[in-house]
Amino acid sequence: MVAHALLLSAQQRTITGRVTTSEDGKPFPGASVRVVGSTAGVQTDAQGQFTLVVNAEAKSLEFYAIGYVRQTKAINASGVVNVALESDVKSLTEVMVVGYGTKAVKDFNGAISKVKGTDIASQPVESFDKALSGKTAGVQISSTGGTLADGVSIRIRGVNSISTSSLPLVVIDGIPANSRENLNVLNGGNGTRFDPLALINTADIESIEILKDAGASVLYGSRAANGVILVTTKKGKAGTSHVSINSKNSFATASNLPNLTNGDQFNLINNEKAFNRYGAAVGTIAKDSDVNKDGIPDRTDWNDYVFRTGKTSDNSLAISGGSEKATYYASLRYADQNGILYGNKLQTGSVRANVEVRPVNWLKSGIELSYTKTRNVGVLTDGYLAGLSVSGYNAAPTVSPFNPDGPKGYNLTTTGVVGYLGLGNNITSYQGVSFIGNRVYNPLPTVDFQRNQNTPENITGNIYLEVQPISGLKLTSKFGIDNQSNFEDQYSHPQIAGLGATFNGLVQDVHLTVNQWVWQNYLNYDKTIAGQHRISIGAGTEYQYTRQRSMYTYAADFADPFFNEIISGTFAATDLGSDGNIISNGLESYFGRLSYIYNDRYFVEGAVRSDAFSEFGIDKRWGTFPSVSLGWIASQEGFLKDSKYINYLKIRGSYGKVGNSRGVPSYASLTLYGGANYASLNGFGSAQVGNPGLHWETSKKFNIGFDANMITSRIGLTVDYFNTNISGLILAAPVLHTAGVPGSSVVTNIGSMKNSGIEITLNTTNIKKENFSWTSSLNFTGIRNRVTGLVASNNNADIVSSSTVASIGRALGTYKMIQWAGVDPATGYPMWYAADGKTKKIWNQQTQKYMLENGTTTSLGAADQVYLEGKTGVPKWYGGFDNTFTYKNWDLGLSMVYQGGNYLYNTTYSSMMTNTFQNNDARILERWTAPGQITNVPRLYMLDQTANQTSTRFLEKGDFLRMRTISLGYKLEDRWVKKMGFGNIRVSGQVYNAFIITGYSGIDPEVNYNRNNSNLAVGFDNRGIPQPRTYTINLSATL
Amino acid sequence: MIKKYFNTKIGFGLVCGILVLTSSCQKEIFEDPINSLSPQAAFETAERVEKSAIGMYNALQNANFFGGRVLIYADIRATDVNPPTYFGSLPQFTSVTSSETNTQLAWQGAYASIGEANLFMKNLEAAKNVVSANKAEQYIGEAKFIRALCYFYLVNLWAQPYKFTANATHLGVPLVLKSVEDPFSAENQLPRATVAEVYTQIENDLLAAENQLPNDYGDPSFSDITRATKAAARALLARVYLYKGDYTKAITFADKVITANKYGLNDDPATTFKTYNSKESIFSIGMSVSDNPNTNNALGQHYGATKRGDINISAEYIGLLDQTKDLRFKNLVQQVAGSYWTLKYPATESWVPVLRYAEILLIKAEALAYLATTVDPNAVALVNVIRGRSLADIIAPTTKADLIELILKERRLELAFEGQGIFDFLRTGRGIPAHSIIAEQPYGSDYVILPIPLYDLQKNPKLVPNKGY
Repeated sequence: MVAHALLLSAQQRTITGRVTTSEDGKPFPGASVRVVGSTAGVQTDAQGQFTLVVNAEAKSLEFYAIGYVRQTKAINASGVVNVALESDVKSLTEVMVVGYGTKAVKDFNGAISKVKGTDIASQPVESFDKALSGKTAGVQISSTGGTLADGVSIRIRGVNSISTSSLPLVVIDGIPANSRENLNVLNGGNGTRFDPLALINTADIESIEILKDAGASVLYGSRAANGVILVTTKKGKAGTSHVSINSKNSFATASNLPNLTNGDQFNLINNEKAFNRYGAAVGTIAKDSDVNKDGIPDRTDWNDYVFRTGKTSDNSLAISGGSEKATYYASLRYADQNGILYGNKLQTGSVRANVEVRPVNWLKSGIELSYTKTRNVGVLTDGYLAGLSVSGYNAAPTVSPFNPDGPKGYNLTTTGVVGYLGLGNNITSYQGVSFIGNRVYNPLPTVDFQRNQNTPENITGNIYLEVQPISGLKLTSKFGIDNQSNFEDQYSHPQIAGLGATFNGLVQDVHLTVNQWVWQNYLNYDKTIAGQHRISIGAGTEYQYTRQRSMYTYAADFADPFFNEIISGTFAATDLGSDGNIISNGLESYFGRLSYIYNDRYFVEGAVRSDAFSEFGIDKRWGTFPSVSLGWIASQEGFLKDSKYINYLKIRGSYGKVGNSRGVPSYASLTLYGGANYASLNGFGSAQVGNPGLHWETSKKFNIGFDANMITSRIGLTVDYFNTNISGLILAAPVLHTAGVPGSSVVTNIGSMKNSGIEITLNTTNIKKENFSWTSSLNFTGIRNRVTGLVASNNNADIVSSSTVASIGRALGTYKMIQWAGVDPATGYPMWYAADGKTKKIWNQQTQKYMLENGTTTSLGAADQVYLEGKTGVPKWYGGFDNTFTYKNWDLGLSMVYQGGNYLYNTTYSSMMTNTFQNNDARILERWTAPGQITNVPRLYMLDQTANQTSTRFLEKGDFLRMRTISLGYKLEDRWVKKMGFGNIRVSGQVYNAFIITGYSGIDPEVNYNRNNSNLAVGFDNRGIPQPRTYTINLSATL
Repeated sequence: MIKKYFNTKIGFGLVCGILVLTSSCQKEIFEDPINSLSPQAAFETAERVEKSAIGMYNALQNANFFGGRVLIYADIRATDVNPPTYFGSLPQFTSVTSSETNTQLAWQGAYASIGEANLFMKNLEAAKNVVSANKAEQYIGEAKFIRALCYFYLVNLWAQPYKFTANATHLGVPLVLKSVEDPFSAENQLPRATVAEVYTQIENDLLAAENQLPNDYGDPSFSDITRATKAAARALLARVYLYKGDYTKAITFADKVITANKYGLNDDPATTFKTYNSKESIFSIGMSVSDNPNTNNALGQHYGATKRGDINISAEYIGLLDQTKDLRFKNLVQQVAGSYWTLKYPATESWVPVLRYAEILLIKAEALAYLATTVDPNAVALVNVIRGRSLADIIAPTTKADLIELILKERRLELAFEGQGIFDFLRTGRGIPAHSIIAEQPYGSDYVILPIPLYDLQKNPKLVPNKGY
């Protein structure tokens, strides 16, 4: 035996074999094969095959590749060793969609996050952007609340603009989507809003990638500064065929409601307001009434009428599959959502077909088509007297919504100013002065009688052709259209105050179309030289043209309230005429990239894009945006290669320049005269003062970070530090009013700002047992912002928006206001501090003047406002924490989001403490009533609004932790499912917005009052609609 | 076979490559605006210059200024109406601050209207040869009239009255007389001119306009009232001189309007407010349903009992009227839901009355009364013309002081809600009496004039704030 062995050891032998991936059995090129205990090794070829000459003593081979579990296999007698490599962290080898191509995660040097489609589709939200909340580091999502399809604010790595939009570019299947943020036009687009992203069927989304740094996003050049969201829709897979059905049914309630005074408290408080100002002479102003004539005094909790239990049914069907020659995915969805607000409804139907054919192996071509139509029965909310969260909160709890003698049984005024809520026996004025600050609508008929409808439609169609003339070279041409339209239909009823009563019925219809086409031509060439040098080249062009047309038409003075549509002969007033607008813009671009990878270890990439955008000054249209990025997979180096703890470590960095042009007003660079008629005379008037030098906002972005997988890849850690310097901010720069420029602003590149921060993502597999597993994913983002430059010629004056400022050296949106000094215990008068923070200024309700503590008359004004350093409405830190537990066929998911470091101005609270005659926040019961009383609520004094003026009294911390979803799923046992003839069946239940932990006293600390396009005054909570708490039962089945 | 296959591949590749290289199409995707004109184009032909001149009046319709709000701001701080809750602190004097929104918007609106007139004059200068010399003169006259009108309200709302200091050397408002070249230039940071300087500028503009403007536009239904005319310039001059206390000139210009025999009193005081082109109207801002300053800002909305219904009439004003006789009560006041409401603005599209014949008669009466040493019979007669028209009892004052008091009372009765309420108190050296829930605001109080808006104060270090704010 010994001799035999020695004999063999003197010989060498040849081992051959094939490496495949365990996932799909495809050949694995580039895998390393090494003899255990020696340095001899080779890499597999394109077919995954290898040939290795080994010494006879070699007993086993080791196979490895980045992102795969290392395997050791004994050399057997046959000399053939075949191995299927199993991916250790799937995400590393996964192919990611990046700008104009794809890449494996490990080859990527930029900062990028990926969210799976399943994480999005499972949430009961109208648009995918809402579902991104807390899912990845660096991305902050704020919903406006429970109004269906209302806009969502998306901020990637902080607020990157002051006047223009900070929303990221959204790219769907490689084609940049329309950038209109709201399909509404009437009421300045701020009445019933519709977020066009709600036109994308969340169930069609395969994955979403978020490009955060310049290294990742530079190929989107002038539109990349706010980050880029790449949405990839589902495609069929060769060799499969599936039918899947998904049915979601849910009901929702408001997660929180304001606490208002009840009927008795209302009477007490309002009579006290009047008594304190006018004395006994005023008598009783707040009195019980029996408006609904049921024989007892009316008591109404308006929240019971304004809010309701919403119900949603969302059903979709998808078919997918394919062969080597063709793949397909097609889907159909119909969702019927009834929101938590009275009358609010959204019906959505959508279809999609993604088909790709590959007739020969060097050519493929595909079509991606989708069509969505929705009907959105909108309701007005904040910002409108007729809005539900205004009228509903303000309405007296001592009158009924109903009056058997009123129009259609509702309690409405029918004499004098018609169409408001009738106030029964209440007395509303004294000495000719009305106690009513804002008139109150009856929310029910205001919704029932009138219409605020949107009918948005969206057709997208992409067609592409990809040719591979020689190995490694791909030429792609892709053409996409994106046609959005909205038919907006508003009807104001003659028996409801406002437009309806003024015009004896008014229909306003707007048809908006946004047509866009994009044509891309690009090539990608990948070549590996001598097994170690991978070179990748990309280059291309892109053209984009967008035209937006709106047409308005009106009809007023209807023959009878029966007629409420534009129908010939049914209305008299034709002098309102019609209206409209057309704007267009174009983008012409060239781009290229070159990357080199040595030995799968060292990465370098340079990329550049040149854009010309028609909105900019004639000589300033072209901008060039370069970036360079580096990467190093340290775990491939000898000193880490055999580490037991660190399985993968990649260090990467990037620096580049990208731009922002989003939200730039049309033709902003031009000085224009527009139509300006004077009653019956036609005229031209100056429409805007342009700035011929207008160009991009420039963001210089630096990013450094690492990705690590540790302890048999049970821990995945990604850390990034970023620093963004933004210059040439496109400001609608305020101009002195006295200069007389239209709108007192000129869009110009002035000002600069800095954002820096850190992002951490930690994925862990805490427990992995046969039947039980627990995985967690935690992400954290911390951000610091500084404004570094403003309009020098304006004396560097702060740019002010609702008590927040853009001010040099401070964070964008720093609050500036007077400081609350409490209530004077002796008199009950409200007090504030002078700018020195010490001198108290007391508002003497009697004299309606300010006085010092010694009684001298003084004034309180702008000079007393102070910067509340470090306090802004923008969260300084935020993130999410997801936990998934599986036990046999059960899975439990707990998904949390958190944010904080910001302050909210509780305008709902301040306005609901009003001294006018209306309902109040129940906290008004703590008002000052007797000398010596210590309280924070001043003495009541009818019509005295100074008491509730803007001050730190209503500023609160915005920190919160929200249990976004709790979900429990059960996958039916295969044996039962098979018997039924299904592939798999899963039943799950979910609670969305289960609970929130916060110190904030308002309805919800997740406020988005100023919505998409505003970067200042973001922390104002002004009667936003509470978020829904949604309970969903989901059934999905696959055949 | 292999060769053919290869060619097809390369062929496709070449086609794609050619597409990539030749697909520049900036011409097709970069379009000039089709919703607007360049300034050059807007002054290219005589017809277009005419339309650009019309644009100045469009700017004058500014919803926060001469769309009607400026009249409201002068009246809600006086005593003819109850302090409307809708306008927040504005009617309450002491609680107004420099960041008060309505104040800021009105200031902005005034300077936007002025800016449009200045811009028009600048662009016209460059396009002089496009129109006839006469037309050019007329347009400049219109621009100057508009500018003077805006400055008149600006200086009276934001500065103490002319007679507050001996030579009106107290602070007025910044005088912007040229269209700004660079919106961000430090040259735009103008200090406040004195009240005297502002009045001088108003006078100069109006005197020039008087020469340049036509008597009419041959359009009695609209332009003759809604565009500036000689009579409009003279009427405003009469008012300016009255405010200054230059009574001789006030009479001169009032007489110029009166002797033109073009204007007169309607039989019914309500006619002026229903038939906008009646003989009583000298200058009004025209409105139509489609360009009224909308349901939130129109006079007809704020004053309309069944519209927004924000502003109702004070009991004190009603008390001054003889309810059994005076047509100004019978035809111009209605009682709805327990309150009195004016009928001067019956529709959302009601025109904004600026200068009308009745005021000219009262200006003359007042000027005569001041100049005379005793009771001026002509002044009494003029007042009685006004009263007689409304079937009110005639007056027969026995002293000069009585006469002046009766004229001022008559102005209240006749011109109420037309935007001179607070001015009539201040220019005559009187404070605002206590009314409704508002305490007395003595003459000279810091709070009887509006604060210079914080927005401009922050950006213009040369701007001095009004005292007390």
